Amino acid sequence: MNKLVSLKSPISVNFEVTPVCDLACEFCFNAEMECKKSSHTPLKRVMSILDKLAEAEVFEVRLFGGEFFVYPYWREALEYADKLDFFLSFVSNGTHINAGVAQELVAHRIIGGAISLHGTKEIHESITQVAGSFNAVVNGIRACVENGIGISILYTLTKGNYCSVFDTCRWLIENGIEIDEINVGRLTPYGRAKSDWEQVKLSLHDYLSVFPQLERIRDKLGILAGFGDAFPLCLLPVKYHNYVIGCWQGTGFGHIDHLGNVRSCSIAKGSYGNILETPLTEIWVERLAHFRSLKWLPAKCQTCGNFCGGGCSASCYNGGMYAPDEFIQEIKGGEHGQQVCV
Amino acid sequence: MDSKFVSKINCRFKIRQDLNGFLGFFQGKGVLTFNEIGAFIVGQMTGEKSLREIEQSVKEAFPAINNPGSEVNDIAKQLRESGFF
Repeated sequence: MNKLVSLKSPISVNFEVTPVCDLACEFCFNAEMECKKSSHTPLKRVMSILDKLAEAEVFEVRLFGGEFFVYPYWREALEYADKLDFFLSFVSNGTHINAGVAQELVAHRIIGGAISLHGTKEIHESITQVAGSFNAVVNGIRACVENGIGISILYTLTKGNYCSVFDTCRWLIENGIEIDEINVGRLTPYGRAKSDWEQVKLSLHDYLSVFPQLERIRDKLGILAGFGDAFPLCLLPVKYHNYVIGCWQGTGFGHIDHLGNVRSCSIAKGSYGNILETPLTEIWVERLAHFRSLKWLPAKCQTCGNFCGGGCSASCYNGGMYAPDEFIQEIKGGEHGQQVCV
Repeated sequence: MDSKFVSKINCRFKIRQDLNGFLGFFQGKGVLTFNEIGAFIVGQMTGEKSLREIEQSVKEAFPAINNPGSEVNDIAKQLRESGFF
């Protein structure tokens, strides 16, 4: 039987320093929080959460939001996190990063980060719903790269952009922007995408059509292109298996929200506990036992010799914190069927 | 490997004790797992000691170990082959 390993605490966490974001991405999984209307987290709480992460010996903190760089005390948070000797990284919409910001990041030992870019100019701005956001993010990426920060592009797939992954990378190359890698991500039924999920969701066919683009990006543009989320390998041609980076949630990866709530996934909602009330090690070891048992997965996934985690547990919302992949359905008798979309 | 070789891991790294063994996080490279002796050896590879001096430290810290030189050498070899020096 497959089983996920238990660690005393995550190796790496996304820490949602602030819930506030200044973009309005059409699929944002955090939209329930009303990102533009939320209040920023008090710095004291941010520092307390960082203290708790240090006590649990978490190695890496990825400064996350909302949008980390709209947090009024992001410099203080960065400096405090560096003093606690974390390996630091960031996940950002990129629009507030300039050369000065990039240099501050480097001064705090940041060597890499992830920036969201969801297409070429027209597509990106139709998704973010903010005019000028494309040029701003491109300038942010450029500032990072020119200051020695390796950038991984996060590209959330939608009906409007899944055919444009290659074109977006080609545009970056043609404009002299040398990114390290691009990771495309699953569209999930959370936040803003949840309300009209049946209209906006991607089919299996849509997803499968992305992999040849990733192949071309690697072969023709020399960019490390991958599928950043989990995807059921049993539905994917073998030649693309090594394009799937997969997911290590609940073992090496965790998410801490701006209140200190612990999740195993940045997208799914809910909480296993709050690290300001309970030590992270206790939460991480004791409260994820059912998730790690994999008993919630179809029987075939539990014994699969090419275990991929059963795909993405946030791709299908069933009211809980995790569910089998949207493209894998359990049918009577414990066998699993494949939902093949037209 | 040459016992005079002064091993220095070429990235920032930290090691922690976990539920079953030790975990090492190597910035920009990834995560490695170790047993207690392995974690001790890797923790010494910061550019101050030669492999022979690390072997001596292992002897002092783990007197019961049979062949500390071999342990140090094996780990150094694996790390070198993986581009950690």
